[in-house]
Amino acid sequence: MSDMPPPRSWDDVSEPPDLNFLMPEDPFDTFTPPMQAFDYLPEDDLFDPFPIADLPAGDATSAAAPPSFSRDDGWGWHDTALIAMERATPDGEATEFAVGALDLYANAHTGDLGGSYLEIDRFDDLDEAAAFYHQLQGDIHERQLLPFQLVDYAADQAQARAAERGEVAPTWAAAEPAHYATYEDIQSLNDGQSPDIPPADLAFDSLFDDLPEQPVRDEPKPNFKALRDIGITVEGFDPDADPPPFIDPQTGTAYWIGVFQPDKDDPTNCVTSILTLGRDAESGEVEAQLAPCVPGDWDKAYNAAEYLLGVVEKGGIERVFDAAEGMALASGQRELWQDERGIPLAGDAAQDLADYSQDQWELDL
Amino acid sequence: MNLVIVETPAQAKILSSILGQGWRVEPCHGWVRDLTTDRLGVDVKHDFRPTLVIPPGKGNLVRRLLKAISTCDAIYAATPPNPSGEAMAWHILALSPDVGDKPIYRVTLDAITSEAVRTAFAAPRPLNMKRVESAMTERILDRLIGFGVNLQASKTLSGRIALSYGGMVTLRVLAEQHPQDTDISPRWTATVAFHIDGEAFTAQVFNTKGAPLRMRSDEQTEQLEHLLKSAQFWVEQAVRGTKIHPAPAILNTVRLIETANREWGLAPQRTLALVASLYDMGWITHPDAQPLPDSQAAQAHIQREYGNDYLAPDLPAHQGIAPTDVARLPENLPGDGAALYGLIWRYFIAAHMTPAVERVSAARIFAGASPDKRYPLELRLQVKRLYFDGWKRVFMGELPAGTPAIVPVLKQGQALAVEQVTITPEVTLLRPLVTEGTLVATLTGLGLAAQSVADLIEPLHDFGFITGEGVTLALTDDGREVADYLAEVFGELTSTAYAARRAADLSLIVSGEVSRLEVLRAFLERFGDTLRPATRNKPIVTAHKPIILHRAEEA
Repeated sequence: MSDMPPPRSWDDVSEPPDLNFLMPEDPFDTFTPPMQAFDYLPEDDLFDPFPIADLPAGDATSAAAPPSFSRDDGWGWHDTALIAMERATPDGEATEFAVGALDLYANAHTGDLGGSYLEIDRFDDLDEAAAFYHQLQGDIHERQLLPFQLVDYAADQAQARAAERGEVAPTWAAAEPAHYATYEDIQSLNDGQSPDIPPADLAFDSLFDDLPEQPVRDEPKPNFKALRDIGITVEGFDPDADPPPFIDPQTGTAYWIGVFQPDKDDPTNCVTSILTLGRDAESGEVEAQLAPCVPGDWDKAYNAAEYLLGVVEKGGIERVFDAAEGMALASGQRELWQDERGIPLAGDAAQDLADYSQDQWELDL
Repeated sequence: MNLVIVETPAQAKILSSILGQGWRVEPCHGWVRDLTTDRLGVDVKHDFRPTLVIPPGKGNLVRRLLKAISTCDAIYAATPPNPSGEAMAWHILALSPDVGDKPIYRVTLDAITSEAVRTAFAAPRPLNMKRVESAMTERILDRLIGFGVNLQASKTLSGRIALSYGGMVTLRVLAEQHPQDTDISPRWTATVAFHIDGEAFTAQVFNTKGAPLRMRSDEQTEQLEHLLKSAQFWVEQAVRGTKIHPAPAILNTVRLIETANREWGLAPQRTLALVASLYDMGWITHPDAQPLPDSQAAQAHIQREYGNDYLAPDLPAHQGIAPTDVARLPENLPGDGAALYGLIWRYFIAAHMTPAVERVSAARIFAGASPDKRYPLELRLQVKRLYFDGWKRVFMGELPAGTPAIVPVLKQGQALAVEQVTITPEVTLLRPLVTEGTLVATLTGLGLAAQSVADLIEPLHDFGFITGEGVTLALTDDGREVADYLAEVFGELTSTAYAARRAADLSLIVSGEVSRLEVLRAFLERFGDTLRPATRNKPIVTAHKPIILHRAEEA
């Protein structure tokens, strides 16, 4: 915020306190064709009368007196807009096009919109209606009338058109559902941000043509680097290419199950292990973790790994860790599980297991 | 002439009347530029340069605004006080060939009242491009994810998929909160009513570990009832004390949506529309207003209406939505807007009040055929009595005279007389139901804007991906299929974890700790392969085999 103190009087507000606040440079280097002329363009304002064919003709031109929208009752002015409708003529034989103004109020108590409608003119011919509509919009644009100034403008126009026809000028009347529907239709056209939905004819393979290939790195790939960082190499396995039996969709962390054999020449010293490769939440670096659970010779460790792969298929990685913790405990490997680069057991894991058995207890009557 | 740019026609009218002569106030109706829709619209090779276009139907609005800019002396951007509001103003100004050396002042209207407008216009600041960059980065990320995921999903799944980024995260949230086949678990609630000092109090029955009872059949239930009716009961342990209930915080948008949805079933979209109406009317402050609301009026009201005992010594720590005029008391009028205003007003006053205090008497009660033949269960009794109403006074009114404030005194070993035994079967959901309110709270907690979250619920209904009974929400079969697909193929990209990280990154852009290009490049590095279709042909493995690991040789 500016360090400038508040003005001493309301008049001082019109004096900008700091003249150095200029338009910043465009960091996006965007380019939109410059507009030099600011005139109203009909082609940018589609005249598309809202069809109210389902409603009887009389329902769109209410004769009810306009309601009062008192601020004391929670009403506040909301918007005034020109609307156009397509409807059946009163005899139902033909179609006509009405151009009018809707003056809307919002009620802070109820959330309702209420309003008045004034029909400025109606036409048998669509082109004539469009020309009249664009003439009004162009005039409003030229005179830079603000929405809340359209109430008087619309009344003047309606009076002038009635005078031309030798008729009594129409008056504002309570708005009908068709008028609100027409207004909502215009708003829905104007308000929606463009959706992030590719057009149907966009070629699938060309969508990310511009996406640069990931640069070829001189250093080891992140997954292999992470494995080296914890002193592990792999045999016949590529973590970049071989799908893991389980991947956490939330974090992208991948889990593999296998056998850790510290010494290639010693089949008697192996450990069934769970390997995880995931990114650190803060640094984004790939990190590896190895959770050893069942030590033994090659056959024992391999069979245990196959067993855990079966568990992951049925119950997901949480079930695997439950089973692996149990296996680590059962084989007296709590220390190994906790200390050997692995994931530490929760402090009360043993208690939880005991509690689990207790939970099977049912009220014995 | 000074030009003021606001968002809505209603704001334009009110500001015009406040500012008077020499000021012109123009509504801009949201962003006047957006990414083109006929292609990706983001040049990822060239610093993610966006291709921005004026959406159809907004050309004349833009010309009108540019005309006003060309003839004014200075421009005041009074669009909403959030990054999207900053970008809203920037989009218009960036289109003008006449901005030149005209002063541009950013003013944030915390409320649409004379005083708030005066304060804001007296202390303008420059347009903050960090906030603009954050809003545009969010837009670019939405586009990259939206195009990438929707195109692949439409090709893989039957039919065209059209999901916003928020919609994708919503489906994932619903799938995680309601996994299939784990919806309900039958339970029983057993209670025993006792007669103590002429009053009836109810205790709940638990197993010896304090867990609800689990019974297999109606026969077991009947046996338990028979057992309890013929049992003796005695107090094993009794404590008395007081419980302090601190005053609630001033409501923010999310808690307001949650409360309105829970209490009255009000849809989030309607709540936000009403909040916008109340703001435009000048009744409440803007939900994104930064400074703490003025507390003096609240304190004066509390002192006058309730007395000094009810006035908290400290001011509320958190900001939120506040009434602009405490003297505008909530009225008991029909209508959701009046109810919301009442809620906002009451929480604002309550946040300035002293805690409520309850007296509590709690007891563990054992049952058995006799004191030396105890059954393997226990009962828990808790009696609470409001001792000092504090902030609750605003919600409950004055306590009727003679309301008991004394809790019964229970002594260890005291025998209790049973009045009634009740065992009620009930279906307890293992996970709480997801409502529109809790969903919005979850997603806004991840950093998504409340308005965009509220707006995406209806399209998901229209697509047939979610269904609702009352205010609760659940996935349809189609919705679950898409959610499973999003989890399987786009994993982290559509996860709640990434949504939270993304929101944090966008905040860091605002604070200047990272640049937008760092965030976008990191995104591309992380998810480029996920979004690039050609690299998705990973081998399908039907049977996994154990992998083999060795100790790495020392380098």
